[in-house]
Amino acid sequence: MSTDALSAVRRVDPEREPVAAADAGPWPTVRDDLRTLIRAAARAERSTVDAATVDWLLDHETPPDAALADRIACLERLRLDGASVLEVGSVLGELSRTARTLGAVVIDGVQLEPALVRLAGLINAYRHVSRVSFHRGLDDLDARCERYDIAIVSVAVTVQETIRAVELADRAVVLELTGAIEPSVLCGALAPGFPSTANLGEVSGRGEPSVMLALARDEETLLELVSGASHERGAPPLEQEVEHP
Amino acid sequence: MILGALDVDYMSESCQDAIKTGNHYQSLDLGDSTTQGFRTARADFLDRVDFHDKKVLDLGSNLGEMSRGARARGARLVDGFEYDPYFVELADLVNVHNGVTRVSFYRRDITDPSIYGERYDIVLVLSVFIYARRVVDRLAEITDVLVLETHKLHGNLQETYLDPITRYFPRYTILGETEWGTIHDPSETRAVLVFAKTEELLRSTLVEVPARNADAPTHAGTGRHETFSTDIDIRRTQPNEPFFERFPAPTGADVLAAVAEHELDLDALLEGPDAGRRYRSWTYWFLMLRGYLEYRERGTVDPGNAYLRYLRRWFGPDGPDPSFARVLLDEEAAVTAVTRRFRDLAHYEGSDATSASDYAPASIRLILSDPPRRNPPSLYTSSGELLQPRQLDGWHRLFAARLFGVERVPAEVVRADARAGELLAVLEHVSYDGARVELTGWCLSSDGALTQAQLTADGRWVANVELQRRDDVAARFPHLPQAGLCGFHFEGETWSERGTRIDFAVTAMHDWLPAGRIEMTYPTATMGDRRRPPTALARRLTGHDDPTAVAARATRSTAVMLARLGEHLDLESAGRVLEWGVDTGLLQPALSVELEGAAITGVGFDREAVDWARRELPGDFVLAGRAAALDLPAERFEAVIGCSALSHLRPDEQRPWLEELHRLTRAGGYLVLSVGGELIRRFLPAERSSRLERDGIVEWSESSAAGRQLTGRTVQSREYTVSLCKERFEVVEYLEGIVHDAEDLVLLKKP
Repeated sequence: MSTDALSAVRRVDPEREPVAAADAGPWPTVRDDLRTLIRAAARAERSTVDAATVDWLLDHETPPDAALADRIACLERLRLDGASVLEVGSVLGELSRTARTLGAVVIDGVQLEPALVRLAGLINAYRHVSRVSFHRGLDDLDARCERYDIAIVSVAVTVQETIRAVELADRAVVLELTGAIEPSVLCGALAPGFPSTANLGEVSGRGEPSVMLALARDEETLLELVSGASHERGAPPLEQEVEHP
Repeated sequence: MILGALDVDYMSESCQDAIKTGNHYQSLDLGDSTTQGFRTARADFLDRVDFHDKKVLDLGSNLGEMSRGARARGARLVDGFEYDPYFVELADLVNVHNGVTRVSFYRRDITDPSIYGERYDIVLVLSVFIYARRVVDRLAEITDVLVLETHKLHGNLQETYLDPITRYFPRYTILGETEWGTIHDPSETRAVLVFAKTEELLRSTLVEVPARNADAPTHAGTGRHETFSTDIDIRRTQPNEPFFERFPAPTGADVLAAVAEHELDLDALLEGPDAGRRYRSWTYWFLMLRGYLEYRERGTVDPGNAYLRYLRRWFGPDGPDPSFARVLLDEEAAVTAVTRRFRDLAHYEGSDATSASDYAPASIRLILSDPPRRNPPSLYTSSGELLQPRQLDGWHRLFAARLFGVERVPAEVVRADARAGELLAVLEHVSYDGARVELTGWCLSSDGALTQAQLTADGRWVANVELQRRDDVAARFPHLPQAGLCGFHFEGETWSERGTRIDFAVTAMHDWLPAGRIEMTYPTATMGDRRRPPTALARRLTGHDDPTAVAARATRSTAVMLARLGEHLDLESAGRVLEWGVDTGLLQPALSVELEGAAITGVGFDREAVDWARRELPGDFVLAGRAAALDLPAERFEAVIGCSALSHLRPDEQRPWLEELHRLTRAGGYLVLSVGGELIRRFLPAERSSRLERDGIVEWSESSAAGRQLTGRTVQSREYTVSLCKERFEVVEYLEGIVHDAEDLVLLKKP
């Protein structure tokens, strides 16, 4: 996926006017302190977080991480207006924030590592992103009996967590699959209630590229969810319904 | 970083009229550090609203305290609109710091109608109605429920809040009042109301406050806030005395004539020294009537109306009431407000030619709380009850009614009372010499932090204090965050009208609403001379240093226990009474006075205490061993009083002793006992609490000084006590927390 596509990414929260530095006017601001704080926190977590990625997240410039750029591009094929979204394995939260720019009204990102939850929250604060929250693990959401229209599950999430996430979704699931197992077989096993499948695109990585799939309750939901203009954008055509047990 | 940002001396200017708000307006709770805002927390009122699964909008979200509060109470999604971007930044950071989810803050001008697009289940309008007033119609399109906190009220609840809001949200209820801030005059209160489009929505929005003692028949009231309707007797109440002293004509028509003929320079009057006293002045009412006469003559309120001129002069932006000042700036709203007051006058005069004949003034509204404020107005109901409200909405209607000889006007009353049995308290020192009183102690509420306390003597106000740090109490209750700020120390002057005794009451408050009350009876002059146990003995038995403080509360507790007993027995001719545990509750000095005619037999567990009682007190005294067997004949006593005796026994000793008491009591006789029960249970550490949950009874930690001062060794559940007593007795009554501000009371009857 080219970085040209990324430059077209609409990175403005539709409900939030960013308060630009020039607009600070008579108001004090902690923006510079916050930036320093986020970068220091990122350095402290350098085993899991790439400093260049954090800078990009703060400034919305060209992403240094090709895989993340690809995932964003895949996600942008979805129409999320009014949807509630769960993202499991949200890391620094950029896919959740992307879901917000695509019109989702509630986005809960889930990440087990507390330092990442906090860092992702700080980036939200810096970028003035609304309606996107990050949670430590799924337990709290389970306890509140939350339901979501769409669950997005990262490639790094365990099978058990994936199945728990799928159980919380009502309309569709977005999965990233890699490895030798036939995607349709995997989908049938992981998300048996979501038979209609569309390929959102490939995600490049260090090894074998993975593929992002949207799985919906039925064909109609799938068509509502996935932009029909996929051919024009050079993405693979919609796949046929897969068989599942 | 957040605390650093708050340390910046910062004033925000509002988008309208540059009203200033500092950055310490709200309180912040940052995990382990809490900053105290100018506003004290309003958690009580949020607790009354059912936020579960609701989508909530918080207008004027400031640092986000209320938004987070709504989320913490189960809201599905909360948005906060705040004009000041600095507050938005800080509020976002607090969210991250505290791990708060699904709460978003937006920089928005809430006076701009175009920002209201999405629907919400509940909109919070807390002290920002002066901005939101213009967009009520827009709010009505996006929500069906408003939770509103007023600005300071000056009798303007009706016209500033109820009139404009009930056009769109016709059903409402008053939840109570909040204080305006701890450093300003605490009598400046505001009301919190919930408005809804339908009665059903209103009801479903409110959380029922469960009655603590729902099945205890003698515990009056349901929950803390009770609402009722009544009539105010105008002839007894005599409102607005300064005016009627100056215009003492027999009828309203005569007064109006006198006002009309009064040759006065209106401009001079308007600027005169009396005018600035507003409602307390005669000038205010005089000018209102001049304005009324002009209105009656012309049928409209002109811009030059004398009353309108007065209001503009004295209720402007610098006046006491910014929200009413805003009404006055808007020509149409000002005329509407003034016209309504004139229509009320016309209604009571019976000359309402200018309006439909079915017009009736709204009920006046009173918010009562016990204790009342320092100089409360006094109103009498038509059944003769004295009401001294903390807040009164309806001075103009009262004035109009009195002027035209109307005998009674309808009133709605919200009552928020404190009562005994809600606080866990220890009184450490009391002294009173007939004039000067000093009183020291501490108290805890299981509902959260207390902020201040008030001392009354025989119902009269004596002093108010802020609660103080008590690190020693905090150390005893490390599991209770509110234990840090719980100490009180009063010094004041008061007198006793009854000569022999004086009743002191300490009312502790949070959010300016009373949380509970500690009562004691101090024996003055004659009673004070009576023999008390030596200090060393009292200290050993009770853990208290001040025998006077012990006696003051023991006297009160005796009275409480005897009062329950007196409901069933004629105390005047009580006959033989057993006092079980002379040394556990130190009741004897009070008991022998209260039960003068009775033959009292005292049973004690401590040899030194029994020796002392035998020497100093009337009656027979028996020393009991741990074994539950007394050398006394069966069926001997008509009544048994046992203060803290049960709680001094080990769990396995309670049943044998109850059987022994059963043997000693006459058939049909009564026992009144106190027991470490449900009140103390709320303050136990988690580990003891879960053992109590499991076993029904638990022993207080072995060496706990806190435990000894409060009760004996055991704490047990109501259910456990009741089922234990039921083996032998009929359980007549169970009351929580009313003995020694710690123990529960149980009243038993031998069948």
